[in-house]
Amino acid sequence: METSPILELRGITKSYDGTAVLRGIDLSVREGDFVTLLGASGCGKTTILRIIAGLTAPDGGQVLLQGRDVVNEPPEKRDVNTVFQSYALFPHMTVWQNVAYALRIRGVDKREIETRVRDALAMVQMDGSGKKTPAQLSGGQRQRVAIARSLINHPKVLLLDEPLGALDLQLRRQMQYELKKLQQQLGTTFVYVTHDQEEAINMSDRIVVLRGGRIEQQGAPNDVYDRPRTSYCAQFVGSANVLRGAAVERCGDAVLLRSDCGTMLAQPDELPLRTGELLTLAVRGENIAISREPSEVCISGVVEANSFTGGMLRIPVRLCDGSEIVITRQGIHFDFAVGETVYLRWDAGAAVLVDREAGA
Amino acid sequence: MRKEKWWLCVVPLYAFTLVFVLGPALYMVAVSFAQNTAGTGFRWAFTLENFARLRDPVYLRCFRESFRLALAATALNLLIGYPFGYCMGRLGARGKRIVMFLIMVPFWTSSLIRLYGWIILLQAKGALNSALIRLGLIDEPLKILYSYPAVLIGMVYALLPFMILAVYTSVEKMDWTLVEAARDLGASPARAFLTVTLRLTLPGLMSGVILTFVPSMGLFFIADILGGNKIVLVGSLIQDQMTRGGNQPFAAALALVLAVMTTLLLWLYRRLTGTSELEGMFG
Repeated sequence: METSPILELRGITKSYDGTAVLRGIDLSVREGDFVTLLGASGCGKTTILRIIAGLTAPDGGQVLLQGRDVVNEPPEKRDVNTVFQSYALFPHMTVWQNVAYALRIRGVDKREIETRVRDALAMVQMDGSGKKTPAQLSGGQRQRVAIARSLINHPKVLLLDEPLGALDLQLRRQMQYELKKLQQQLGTTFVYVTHDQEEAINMSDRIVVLRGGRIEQQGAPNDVYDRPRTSYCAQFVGSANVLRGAAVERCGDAVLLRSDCGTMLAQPDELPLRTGELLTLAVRGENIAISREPSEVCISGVVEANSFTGGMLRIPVRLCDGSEIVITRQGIHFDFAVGETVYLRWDAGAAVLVDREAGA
Repeated sequence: MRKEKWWLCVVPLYAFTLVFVLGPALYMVAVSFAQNTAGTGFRWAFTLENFARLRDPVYLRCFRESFRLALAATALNLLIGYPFGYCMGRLGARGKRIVMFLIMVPFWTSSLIRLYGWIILLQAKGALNSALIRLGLIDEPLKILYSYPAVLIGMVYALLPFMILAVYTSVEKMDWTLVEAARDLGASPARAFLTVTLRLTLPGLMSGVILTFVPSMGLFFIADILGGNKIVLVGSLIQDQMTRGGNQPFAAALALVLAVMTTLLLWLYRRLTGTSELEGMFG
């Protein structure tokens, strides 16, 4: 059975000083989903969050919460809460008072506040720190308090604005895991903003890739990772290589493309293909085979360097047209020397055609 | 770090304070216990008579009057200065520069000359009265000049910039995300203001209160010029005893009591706000 969305944005537009920040955002979020708005800085992702929270008024469009348009309602009337990027903990209150704030404002009974604050602090493993002030906490602890504070009133939707951005890598990984677990336990709908594709892939049920105030692609993490629709998504989400070539022919489950550096294969899509049409394909570094001998279908290039970063070997190869593609390998063994001419190929299934609508 | 270098910096500082601040203050304390000799000066003989004289109802009324006026001036300054400083803190960079400039402009003229300006404005045939009569709001000119309201206006006018700047400094430092967080957590704009903004700008507000209250206890020339000798404040009294009255020990006693009261107020301020520094004065 199709459930109606808990949160829906329709045609949201916003500009600041004549510069369009959001150019018509349509988004629908199902109850209990972990949805991530992913994009580089300036793509409008934080503005979307602020518009949902009611902290920024859109120029046009609707914000529907459980089917009701709340676009004209102030933030205090909306059943959503926000975890701010800077945490925004009240410096003049203790941890306990911070977490209790929303309940006190609503005039909740003292004894109930007592138990609910205790539970909320326990939920984020901050029990025992109630008497401390935010200034006495570490970044990670502040993060936990901010989460407890925003969840205490059981919002329909929790908005999180790059909540892990200020934490170091190890703590970030741990918090990713904890946040996801918390979200699953509570069943609360999370709308999460980040520029970190790894974070988005690890935590989300759905990823919404934003670019220049528009939704570039949305779908399950696997979907966006394996079948990027645009070269931007391919590069941003999957760190894929993007190559261009002219369509030569289609044979079964493969399209043959020709570029200045050789020939390449790609997986055909449902759109019609014309011979000679200029196409863009995305292929990830780990799927590229490298050899000293040319094969029937391949492109050639020169090994530029090899570097071991992030537990992976990254080998940039300069193609004859001057562009660079990066091959990745697990481990640290690499048999090719810098400066050596190599031939690269991949299976048709590993390369996806992108930017198809834009080119048409 | 070498110790002797450190001392090189500190010694002149202490020397200056000793000679020009602590010395005169101690001298004043000493004089307040000395005996007045009719006519010219005083004798170094210990006496409490200068303080005993303060019990005279005339002087008690003078303290009461000063206190009342200072309180009223501070309250008015707060009512005008807080919203002003708050709005100023929320302006853009350009707006802030313009308002700051406008606040600073009066300081380019002597405060005495500006007070004479108020005489011209407030006198029976002055600009204010003619304007009000022409507007048909009053038939007879108001007798504001040389009265309590005139002194109050003068005080508020002279001290308002300090209140505004003290409030502005703390509003400037406000993290407005906190107000957004309060709204997000369910607080109405008024509730968010009371629980977050007001509480976080309290140090500025309190130092504004101190910065206006303390001087208004002693600003004798405003009362002299706009009050026309009808309102005698502690400040005027001290000045009078020092010069015309020729009773330096009594003037010193008055000044000492005023200083003690001021210090008590500063101590209260620290207790209430938990801050040890006045915002706007020391950043």
